[in-house]
Amino acid sequence: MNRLKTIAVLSAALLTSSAAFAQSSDAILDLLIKKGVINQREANDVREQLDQQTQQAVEMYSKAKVSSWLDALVFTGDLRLRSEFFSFEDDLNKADRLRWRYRMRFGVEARYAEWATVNLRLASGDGDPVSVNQTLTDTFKKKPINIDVASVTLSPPGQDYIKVIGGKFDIPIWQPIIASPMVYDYDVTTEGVAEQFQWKLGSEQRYRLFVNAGQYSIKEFSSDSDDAYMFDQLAGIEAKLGGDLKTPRVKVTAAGGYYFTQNLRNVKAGDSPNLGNALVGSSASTNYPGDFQVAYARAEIAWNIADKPFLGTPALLRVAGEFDANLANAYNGLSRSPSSVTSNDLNQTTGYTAQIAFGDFKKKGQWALAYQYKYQQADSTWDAIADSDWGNGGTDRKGHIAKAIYLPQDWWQLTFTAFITEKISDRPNTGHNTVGLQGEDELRVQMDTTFKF
Amino acid sequence: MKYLLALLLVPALVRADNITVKGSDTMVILGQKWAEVYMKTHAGTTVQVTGGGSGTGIAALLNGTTDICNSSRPMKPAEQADFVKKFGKRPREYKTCMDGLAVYVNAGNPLKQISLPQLEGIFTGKITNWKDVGGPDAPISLYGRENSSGTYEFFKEHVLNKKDFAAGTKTMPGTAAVIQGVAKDKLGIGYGGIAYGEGVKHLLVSKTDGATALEPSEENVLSGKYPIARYLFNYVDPAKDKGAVADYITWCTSDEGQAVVKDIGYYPLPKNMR
Repeated sequence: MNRLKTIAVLSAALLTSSAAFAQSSDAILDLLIKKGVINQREANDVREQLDQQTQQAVEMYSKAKVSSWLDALVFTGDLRLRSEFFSFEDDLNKADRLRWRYRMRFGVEARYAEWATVNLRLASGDGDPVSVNQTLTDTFKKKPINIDVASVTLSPPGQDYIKVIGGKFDIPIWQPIIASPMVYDYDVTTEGVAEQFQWKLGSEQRYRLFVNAGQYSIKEFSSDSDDAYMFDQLAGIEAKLGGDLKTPRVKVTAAGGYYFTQNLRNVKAGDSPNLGNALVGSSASTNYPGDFQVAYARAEIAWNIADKPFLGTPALLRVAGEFDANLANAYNGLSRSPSSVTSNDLNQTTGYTAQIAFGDFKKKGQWALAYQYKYQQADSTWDAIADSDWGNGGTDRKGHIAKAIYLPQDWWQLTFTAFITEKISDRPNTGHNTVGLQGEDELRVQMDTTFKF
Repeated sequence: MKYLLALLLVPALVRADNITVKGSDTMVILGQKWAEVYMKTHAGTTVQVTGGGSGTGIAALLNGTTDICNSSRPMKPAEQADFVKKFGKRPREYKTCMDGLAVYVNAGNPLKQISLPQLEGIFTGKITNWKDVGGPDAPISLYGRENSSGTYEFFKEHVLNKKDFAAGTKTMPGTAAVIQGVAKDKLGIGYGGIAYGEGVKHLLVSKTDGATALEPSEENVLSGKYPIARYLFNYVDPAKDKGAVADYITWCTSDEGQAVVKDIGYYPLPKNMR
C-alpha cells in the first residue's frame, strides 16, 4: 500500500512538470528502481504518463503561439553575381563579349504530416528553361521573376523507399556532380510526374538500389492531340565501402538509363534556347526530324583519401563520367534533304565526358578543383535541355572545363569556371546549328560570387 | 462430425504466440538460451532470436519488424526521437543484466593490466607499440566491431571519448570473432562482453594511469568500481508490451531468467532492480 502511495504521489508531482523536466524525471524513476521502490514495468508506466502529459502541454502552448504555422516552413535561397567573358577565334569574325548577370532564387518548403512536402521557388531570368540568369542591361529596366518550382512530393508514412513528385520540379533523375552536365542543365526544372524508388541493402545498409523515372509534358497543343512528351528512366546502385556510413572511405554510384521523346517532331526548334540539333529545313522556325531515343550510362566514385583535411579541405577525390548514345533512326539516318544538314557530318549521335575533382565545398575554408573533358556530338542528346554554359549552350562541341571553388564563409562561395571548346561537326554557322566553325576555339570564362541562405 | 468439429476447434483454442527478438550480437547467445529455456516451460510460445548488432535491432524495432530489440547500449536520443515521431511514444526500456566490458589480449601476452587512457591511445592509433604500455617491443594489432554494434558504440563513447577508431582496426562481425582473432594473434588486443572470454586473457583495467586495476568480476561490475561496466537492455514498442511479449520480458528478469544470465557468464541484476 505504501508503495502504491509513493507511486501515486510521485506521479502527481511529476505530471505537473514540463518537458524541460523530462530528463530529471527519468533520473528520479531510475533512482526509485535502484532503491527497489518500484520495478521497471511500473517505471515505464509512469514515464509514459509523463510523456503524454508533456506532449499535451507542448501542443497546448504550440497552438497558443501566433506564429506556429511558420515552424512548418523552411526558406532557402541564393543570389549569384556573375561576370562572364567570351572570346572567339578570329576567323569567326565575332566580337569578344563581357556581360554582368545575376541569379536570384527564393524557395519555401512546407512539410505536412511527414508524408507531403510542397515546394515553391521563384527565380530570376526571362523564363529560359535552362537558365535563371538575368543580364544587367536595357537601361535599368525592371527585371522579371518566374515560377521556377511548384511541386508536391508524396511519400507514404514511414516508408522511405518511394517518393512521388508532381508539378514543376528539380531534375528527379540522378546525374553525377560535374562542371558541365550531359543531358540536363542544372537549372532545368522538369514538368509532369516523377517517381523515385530506393532500397537499402546489407546489414549496415551500405548498398542502395535506386530507380528514378520521370514522365514530362514538353508541349500541349490546343489544336490537336499530338502533344509532345518526354519519358526518362534510370536504375542504379550506390555502394559505401569502408569507413562508417556517414563518411565511407569510398562511395561508388553507377547508373544506366534511357530517355525518349514522343511527338517532338511537332515542336519548333525555335522553342529551344540552345543550339546544335539537326532540323527539318534550315531555319529555327522549323521542326526536329523526329524523337530522341537516348541510352546513357553514368558513374561517380568519391574516395576519401585521408581522414585529415588537406590545406583546409577534405581529401576527397571524385572521378565521374557519362556516355550517351542517341539510338533514334531519325538522327542516325539523316540525309542532306529535307534536313538542314548540309555538311558531310551527318550522323552525330554520341557523347561522352569524364571529370576528376579534388576537395569539397560545403563549409567555410573548403575548396575544390575540377577538370572535365567533354565530347558531345550535335544529335547525341536533345539540345533544348542541355547545358547552357557549354560553348554557347547546346551540343556539337568538344573541349575542356576547369573549375575552382572556394568558400570564404559557410554562406559565401567564389567560383571560377573556364570553358575552352570547339565545334565538332562541319555543319554551317547558320540557323539552329552551333555557333562557330569546325575546329575553331571559343573561350568562355565565368567568375561567380554566390551568397546562400 | 463431432470429432471433425473438435479437430477444427482445437487449434483455435490453443494459444500460439510467436515472439521475434533481434539486435545485439553480444546478447545473441544469452537471448537464444533465454528463448530455449522459456519455450520449455511455455508451450505454444515460440521465441526467435537473431543478432546483427544493436543498431540493426533498433532499426528493426523502428520498422516494426521485431517485437523486442536486444541492445548492449542505451538508445540514443535521436533514435528515441525517431521512435516517438513514428509511434507517438518512447520505446519501453528494460535493463536485463550487467556486463563488464572485457579487454582481451593473446594468452601469451605478458601484460596484466591497462588503464582507460592507455586504451584510448591504443584504439585511436596514438599508441602503436606494446612497449609503450609495459609490454614487449612489438606493434599492436587492433580488433574491433562493426559500427552497427552496441559494443562498438559503448567502447567508442566510454573509452575513446567519442574519438574515431584507428584506421587499421580490424572490423570483426561479432565478439566471438574478436576473440578468435586475438587468440590467434600474439600481438592482438580486442574488447567485448565478459561472457565471451574463453581462449584469451582478460586484462585488469584501471580508470586512470596508476590507479588500482580491477578485473571485471561480478562484485566490481555491480558496485560500479570496474570502469567499463554496462547494462544490457531489452527494448519494446509500448503497444506490443502486453500478453506473451510482456510475459517473456518479465520472465527474463525473473529468478529463472537471471539464472540463465549467470549460466551464460553475465551478471544478474540485483533483486531490487528487477
